[in-house]
Amino acid sequence: MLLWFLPLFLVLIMIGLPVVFALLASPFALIMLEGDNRNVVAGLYRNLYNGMDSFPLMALPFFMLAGEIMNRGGITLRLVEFAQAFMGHLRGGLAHVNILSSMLFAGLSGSAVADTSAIGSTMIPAMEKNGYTRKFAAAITAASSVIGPIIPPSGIMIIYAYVMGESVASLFLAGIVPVIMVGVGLMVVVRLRADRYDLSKA
Amino acid sequence: MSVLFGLLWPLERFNTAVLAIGRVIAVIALAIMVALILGQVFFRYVLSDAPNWTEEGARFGMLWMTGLMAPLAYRMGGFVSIDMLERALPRVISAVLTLILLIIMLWVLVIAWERGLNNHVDTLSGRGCSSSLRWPFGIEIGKCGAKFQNNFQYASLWVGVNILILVNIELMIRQVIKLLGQGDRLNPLSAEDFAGAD
Repeated sequence: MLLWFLPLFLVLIMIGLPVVFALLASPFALIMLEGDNRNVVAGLYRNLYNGMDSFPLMALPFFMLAGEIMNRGGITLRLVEFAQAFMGHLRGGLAHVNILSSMLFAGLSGSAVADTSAIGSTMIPAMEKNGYTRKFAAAITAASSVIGPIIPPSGIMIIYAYVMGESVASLFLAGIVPVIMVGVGLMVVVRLRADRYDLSKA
Repeated sequence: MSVLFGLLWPLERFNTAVLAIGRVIAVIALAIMVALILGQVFFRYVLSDAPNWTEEGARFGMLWMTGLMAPLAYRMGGFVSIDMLERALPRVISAVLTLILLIIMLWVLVIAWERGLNNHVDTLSGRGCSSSLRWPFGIEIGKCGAKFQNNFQYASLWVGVNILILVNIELMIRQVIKLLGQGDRLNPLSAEDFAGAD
């Protein structure tokens, strides 16, 4: 019967049930159908609690708090200004600034969504004003914000390390090289497109 | 229709008040967590003598913070889900689908409520005493005396489930009202403070 867990879970997710409820509803349904003789459902509930009751996971709220404090303190704009001073003189400067800001901001937030909303709201209007197409500005913001979860410190890596029993420090260390490759790769593409579409400097 | 609005009004008011109180408690819990962990770092690395209860205390704060903030996140639509299908379907079918999803969620929550109470909070382990958490200033409560009863932290998730059920019922009534075409008369659920939480 539990063979049906994965299909049921996927179906529930696809029809739009929030993931946490899909994770609970599919085993609940299957176990109840089977006859819950050994009170496995109570075990599931206790596992839900034990998942929350974890010291390593405490890093996440602290991480968000630190990111939020730095963000409210106006560091996002300063990061963009720093990136501008660093990369702005290049052809296609604003796109480079966007990528570098994303890489720097990822160090604060560790989340792709927070990165997109913080950098995107500042950079996309500025890029549009400077003659970039809306599509290109959105694409470069989205592509560069995936750096967020890879660059250390990253929320998703803490969860992975917790679930798999890996070392958080090793995972963070392992994130550095890929993130530089992604960042440099994006910058090379921007540079090539800048020549082709005659993008302006910042 | 007026029956639905009559049901919704008190529930909406109640949920708003409870969630506002929960939010304040959650913020205080977060502040306590920060203070305890900073204290622990100071004691461990500067004085080389860390108290054994700070980690437990901070975890206590996190459990209650999670339990109290989850319903707020749920009400604002903050739970991760794939809404592709709901968006792709015509308005009425999509509203019916959302209602079905809310019913499934209510079912899950009711089971969690029952098992949480009978197989977690009110059990031998739940009635047991914490190994490291104690009341300050020599206060003694119940059979555990100076120690915390495990229930106090087990209850965090169960209280969260209680509020989630209330929020779920509110969302179901709202969905039925929307389905009947009166959605514009509903008060919007404000999400202004919730942006960027993920």
